[in-house]
Amino acid sequence: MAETETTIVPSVETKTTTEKDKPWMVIIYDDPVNLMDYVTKVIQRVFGYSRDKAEQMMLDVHHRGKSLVWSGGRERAELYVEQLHHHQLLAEMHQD
Amino acid sequence: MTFELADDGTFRLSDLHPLELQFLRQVTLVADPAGSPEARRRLYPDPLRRHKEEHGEREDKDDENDEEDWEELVVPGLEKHFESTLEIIDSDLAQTNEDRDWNIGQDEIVVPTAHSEQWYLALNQARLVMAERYQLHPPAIDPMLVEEESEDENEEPTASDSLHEDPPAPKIEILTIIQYEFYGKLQCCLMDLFL
Repeated sequence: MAETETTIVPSVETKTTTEKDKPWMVIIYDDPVNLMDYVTKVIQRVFGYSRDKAEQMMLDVHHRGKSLVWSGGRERAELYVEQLHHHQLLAEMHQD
Repeated sequence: MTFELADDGTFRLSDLHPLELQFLRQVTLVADPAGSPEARRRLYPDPLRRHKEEHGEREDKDDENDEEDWEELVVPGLEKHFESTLEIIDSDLAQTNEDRDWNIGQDEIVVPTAHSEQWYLALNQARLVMAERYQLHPPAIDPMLVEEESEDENEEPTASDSLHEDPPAPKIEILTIIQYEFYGKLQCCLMDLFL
């Protein structure tokens, strides 16, 4: 009599994260031309952040070369990058 | 040059040195990125440049389409925005035309404070273009490389060392730097007005 073997199949996680679900990040990069106060003010104006928060982001840009200023859906990320370009900041969007 | 905020809704530039007047008259010309692909790339950056570099292997048709969409849908709006900004500066500077009997050192340039943001942006654009066109800010030297080199400084030079010498610094005319700094100082004056 052949032995029967019971195989336990692990349950498969059905919920997967697709690339489309991952947030897009809006990043401002350092450039040697834009003045620090101006960068702070533009961040405040575009994103509506407090002076302190915007200043911290500006300092990140200055000292670390870049700052993540917003993350979320792609369309809004595009809109924010466009607005930052209108103010002549060096901004890009990125998805991990 | 003296920068003065008047109480009639204008700011005034007076006591202008001929060189300062020349720099002001050149703002919109200098801000034009024509002939410098680097300057144009800086004014109209690719919003996905680094993203594409990191995801190069996964780059597909979608990324190419995104780039085309940005060029078609966003860049023209940016161009229009920058052009209209420069037109305002040109109109403000029309008062300095020689055929209007404008006397340097005596007359002043009067600008509505409502135009201060456009002035700031135009000066910024001029500095961005100058920085790229004349390489005013060469990339910083990697401090790690400097450290490694300094550890070896007691060693005898070898024939291969000549291959690693710093490239010659680009020649930059002093007047270009003065003009660049002049625009920057004027931006600082304008900052409080519209910010």
